[in-house]
Amino acid sequence: MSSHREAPEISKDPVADSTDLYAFVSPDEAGTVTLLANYIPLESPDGGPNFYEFGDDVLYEIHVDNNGDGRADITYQFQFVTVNNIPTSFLYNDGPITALTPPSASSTWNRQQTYSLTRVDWNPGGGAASAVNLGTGLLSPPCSIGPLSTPNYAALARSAIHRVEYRGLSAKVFAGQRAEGFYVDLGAVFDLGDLRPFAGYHVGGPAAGLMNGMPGVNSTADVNVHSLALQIPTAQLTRQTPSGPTDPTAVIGVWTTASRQRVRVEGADDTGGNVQSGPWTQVSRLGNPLVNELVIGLGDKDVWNKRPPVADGTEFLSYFARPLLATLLPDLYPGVFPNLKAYNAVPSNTRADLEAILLTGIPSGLIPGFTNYNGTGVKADQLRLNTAIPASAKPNNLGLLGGDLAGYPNGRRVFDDVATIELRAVAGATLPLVDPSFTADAAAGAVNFGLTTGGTDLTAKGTEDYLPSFPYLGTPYSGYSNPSVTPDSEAR
Amino acid sequence: MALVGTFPGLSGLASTAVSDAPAVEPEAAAVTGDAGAASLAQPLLAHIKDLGTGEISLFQGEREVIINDPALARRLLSAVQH
Repeated sequence: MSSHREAPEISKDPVADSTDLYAFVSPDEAGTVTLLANYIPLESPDGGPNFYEFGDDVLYEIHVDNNGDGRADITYQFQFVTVNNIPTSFLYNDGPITALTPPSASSTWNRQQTYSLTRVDWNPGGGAASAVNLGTGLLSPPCSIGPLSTPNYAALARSAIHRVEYRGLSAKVFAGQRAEGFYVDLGAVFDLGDLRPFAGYHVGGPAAGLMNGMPGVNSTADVNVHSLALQIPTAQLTRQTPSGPTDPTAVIGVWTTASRQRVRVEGADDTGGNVQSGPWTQVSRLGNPLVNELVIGLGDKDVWNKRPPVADGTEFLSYFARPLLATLLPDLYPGVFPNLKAYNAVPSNTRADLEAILLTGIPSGLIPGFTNYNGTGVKADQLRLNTAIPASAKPNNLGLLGGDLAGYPNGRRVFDDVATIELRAVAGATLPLVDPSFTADAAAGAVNFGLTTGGTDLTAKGTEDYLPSFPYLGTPYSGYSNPSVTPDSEAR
Repeated sequence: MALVGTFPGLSGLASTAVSDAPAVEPEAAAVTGDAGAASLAQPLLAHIKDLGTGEISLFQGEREVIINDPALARRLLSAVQH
């Protein structure tokens, strides 16, 4: 998955497990950038009575690097507080939830969350220059339960979009449940790298009775996530007003982290409550999709989650320079990637294209009219967005590979087919950008997961619910209707 | 309890603590603080890292302070062994 359950340790701590990160120029709000950080993977919508919620004991952060040094210049911090309005009830709610009233004993909504939002500006040399509380007691919506408990859910959730002020400008914030927007065929790809549409070419495909042309299965359809969403004036993210798309100051690098305090004592007080103590320590990190998932080795995944992005240029660089997946593809699909196989066979060959996409941004001169280079060459896994490139009027879910300069890896929009984009890049589709002597295999530009019919197709199951405006990720699936009642499931 | 008085208070900036190394207190300061004027507003937790050097991490609120006090480390160990 993009970053769902991607490392052994964090897979056991879903509340702190970042799943996806998005950063894009808002298509409907000129002069703003939208940042979305999702947590809590694969929420089954009917997962009550203790429905999903953010962790009160987790510090959630979205970081922005606007000078290319690989370190945060701005951080938005979310911290949650949960109350039980009716401690004697065993239910999430004792009646319909029709409004986001503040926590109160008279509410029918038993388990309620509020949060604070803080903006921290960092000195270039480290240490906080300022920390401004943008809001406290901000209301999160409930989970989507069903027509009796959460009627008119979409409107209820919209009322959880808050406006906050910073230095005279207004921003939007939302924190709550959303429909999963990421799509990928997990069942196939984790079955020894199978791609259902091309299963007949797989080294083990024919013997297992698999054939080409099989449709993909969206493994993340009909599940929810919890999203931290911000829509911020661009001028409050860049270090200065850029002169245009070629100005390096237009580029920001974004990543999200979750941190826990270093010490936890279970049952530390008379009520059986726990005590947390000590400095906040990072336990989860996410910049570009699929990095820890598919690039970092299993033995390093846990430590990667605890390191800052600048460690990617030192401790983890070998994973980016010669990614294992690029080596496996020609073996899994014999004869399909001969040029990639030959390239891999030269020990000194490294993947400068992937380092540019994932670690520094793409320098100017490689793609006409485009750059999201950080201006310094500092290698750090960040989602890099050129904020001076406007949103596309005709978006292509293959982003840059589809000729759409506003799409991944220029930031990431909710509908971008990042799994296919990265698969094609790893397969060699982007290697000619930095090594003109290399000819990409034909398959590198064709492989996909069989979940869309092409770049303009946004109708794949689970991807059709995106919203045209903030927070863009769809209304969450309700527990009453998901999983669906079908004759097959009834039989079980 | 004798060490509580060495903590000046809690950081208001959570992220500062994320990237900052723990403060290292001189041994003398760690053991001679004015505990009598303090109160234990938040739990104080200790982690003995090295009995030989007496390196002890102390956690309170969002702070971690490292002291080096072999005698104290031995006394704490003795307390849990008897």
